[in-house]
Amino acid sequence: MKKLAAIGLALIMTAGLCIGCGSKEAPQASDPAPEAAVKDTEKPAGDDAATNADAKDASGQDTKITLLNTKSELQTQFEEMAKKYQEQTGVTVEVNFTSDVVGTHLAGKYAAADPYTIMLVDHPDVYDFREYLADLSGEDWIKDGGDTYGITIDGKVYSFPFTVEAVGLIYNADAIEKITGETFKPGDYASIDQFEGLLKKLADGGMETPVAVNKDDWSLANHFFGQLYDQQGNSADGSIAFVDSLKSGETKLMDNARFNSLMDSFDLLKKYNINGSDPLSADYDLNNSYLAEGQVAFWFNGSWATDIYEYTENIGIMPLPQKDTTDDVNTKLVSGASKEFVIDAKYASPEQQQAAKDFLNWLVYDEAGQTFMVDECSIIPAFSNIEKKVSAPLSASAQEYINAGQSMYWYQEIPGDHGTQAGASLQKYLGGNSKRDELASEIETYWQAQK
Amino acid sequence: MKRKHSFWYKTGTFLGFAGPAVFCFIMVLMVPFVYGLYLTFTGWNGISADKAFVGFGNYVTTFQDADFWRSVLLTLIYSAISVILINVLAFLLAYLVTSGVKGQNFFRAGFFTPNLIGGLILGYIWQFIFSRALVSVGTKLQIGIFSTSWLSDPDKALFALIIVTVWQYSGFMMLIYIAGLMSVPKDLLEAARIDGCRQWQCTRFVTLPLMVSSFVVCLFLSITRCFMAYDLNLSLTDGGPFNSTVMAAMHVYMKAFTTKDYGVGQTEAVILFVICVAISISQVMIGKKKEVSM
Repeated sequence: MKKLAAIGLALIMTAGLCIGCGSKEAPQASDPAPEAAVKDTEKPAGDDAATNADAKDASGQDTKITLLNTKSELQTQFEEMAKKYQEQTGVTVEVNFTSDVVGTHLAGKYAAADPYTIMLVDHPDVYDFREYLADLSGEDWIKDGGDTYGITIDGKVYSFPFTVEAVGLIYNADAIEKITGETFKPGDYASIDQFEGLLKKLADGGMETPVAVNKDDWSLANHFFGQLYDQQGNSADGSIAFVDSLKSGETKLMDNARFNSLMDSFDLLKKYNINGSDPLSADYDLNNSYLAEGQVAFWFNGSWATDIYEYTENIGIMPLPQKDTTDDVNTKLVSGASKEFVIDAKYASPEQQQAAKDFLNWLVYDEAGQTFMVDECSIIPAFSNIEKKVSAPLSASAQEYINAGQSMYWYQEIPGDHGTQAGASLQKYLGGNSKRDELASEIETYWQAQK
Repeated sequence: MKRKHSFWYKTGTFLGFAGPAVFCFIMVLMVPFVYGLYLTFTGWNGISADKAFVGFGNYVTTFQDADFWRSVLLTLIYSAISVILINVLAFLLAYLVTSGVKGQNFFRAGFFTPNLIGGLILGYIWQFIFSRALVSVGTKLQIGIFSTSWLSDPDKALFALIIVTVWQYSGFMMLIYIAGLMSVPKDLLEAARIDGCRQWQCTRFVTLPLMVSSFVVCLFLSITRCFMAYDLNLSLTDGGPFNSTVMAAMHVYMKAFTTKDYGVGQTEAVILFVICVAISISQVMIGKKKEVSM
């Protein structure tokens, strides 16, 4: 009798286990949402089987799409937007976030056959993942700027440019004006001599080290050094031709005027670096606060550095002053679409893909969508139909350059390991562990190894 | 009675007890391992649905990858120094907290605590200590060695890694050594003392031989953990300064996910696995021979 009871209990427990597994898998099989549990809590228990994706889509209202946000500073805005979007359209947008490298995160998600419907990705990811992505060539927003900033591969547009960003020298005008006593106009310091004069003046006036230089490899290699690839005739073709000539070994960096000019500017920044005594222990967040609090006047970074405003709004971004001024590189700000939305076409259902496309249209053409992008996220929109002006100082400053036609093409197709490999060479140079010719030959070696 | 010895009965019993564990083991270890082996023969980029077969091409590339072998060498140096320091320190700590000092339970808990903090968080804490706290103390008190961050010098960065590793693991190994020390029968020690052994002779000739198995376990654990070190490497130095502290596991990760050469990365992981297995097995074999059975 005891034995029977024991077996019975064991059976019940095993059954419990099986049921536990079963109900967990059911929603996942029908719905590629990664956090099915969130959805489940909103529904009565045991309702899972009935509420599969097809049943919902039949009504046309309850479609659920998942979205991956990869900009940490915008996560709150995204979540609030999703709530409003559901009220307005009835479509649930589930916002996810990763601080991982986007490509790595998505590679894992695709390997698990569980990607998001809409993903906010970096430029190179669009090329890497294109076989999975939906062709967006037929969308309305293409004609309003989507073809300029979106990524076209083999004649098809695969990405929606979410934000235009600029790379350059961020300045804290308050800090400069306090010492010089006159209004700071970035245009007056476009040549390297004028700029050096200003740095000297600041140093003499009490700000001994008026520049903050990042040590992060992505900043050094992809943004600062990346200007070498950007500033090649202000066109995609010019940059591609230059990179190709690096790969073939045709271009020798030490004889290249642009390289030398760029590194001259780098040396100048290095000389006045607040982290100068130990440049490789620089910390991104500390650099941010140095600039915000006015301990330094300049920081080479990009228009995304928005944590400064609580201290001062009198800041802006300017192109890096240089010696060699071919193509007006010292007056044109490097800018381009740095984050792109893509839609999954392999695992998302046609209804979800359509809902995702509707969402992108909403961003461009609906008042609420425009407000979300421009006012709430303070990003510079890539679309010409949007007339809203960004109010955030850095973006506004960058937008001025762009609207005035003073923007420089931003070459973003650099390989994924450029940051770590070329970045290491630049860190070596920054730390004083290598000379310019060694840096040049290391970068040349890196490119020649690329296919 | 006869039924109990039949093949089916035994299989049933085995599956009943070990089945779930075996299932999990196969699913999370064996299947990925075999799949990983298959991937070493492909030129997969980690993303595409298309996995082109390339034969032994990845193995050839791996043997020509100077950066990989440099990272393996670095891992060997790091592991050798760390393993020795971890075990020496752990044994001394264990000896100390079993010798009857005041508050020894408090010390035991204290030394073990670092092990409860995850490697990532620990790395970030120590990054702050090395590049901010020590530097500001160093510049205030004019101590040359601390005036610049340890993490911006290639050699010092390696030592920073070793220091943190030792700090993290010695408490854990200490627990195993405590168990070893406690398990030595008191009557043997008493007999030795009556026979005229001094304290260190008791330790050297009675305690140590009886706790060889603790050493085998601790060495095994510390060697494998050091070889596979990734989290600390990532959060403390992130391979820097200028990729000088990229250890084998990190190199494998970067190859597979940053360079997007998954096939080669996987191949290097397999090579690392083979090296690791060879070292661990020989260590355990040598250790086992020295064990004394009572």
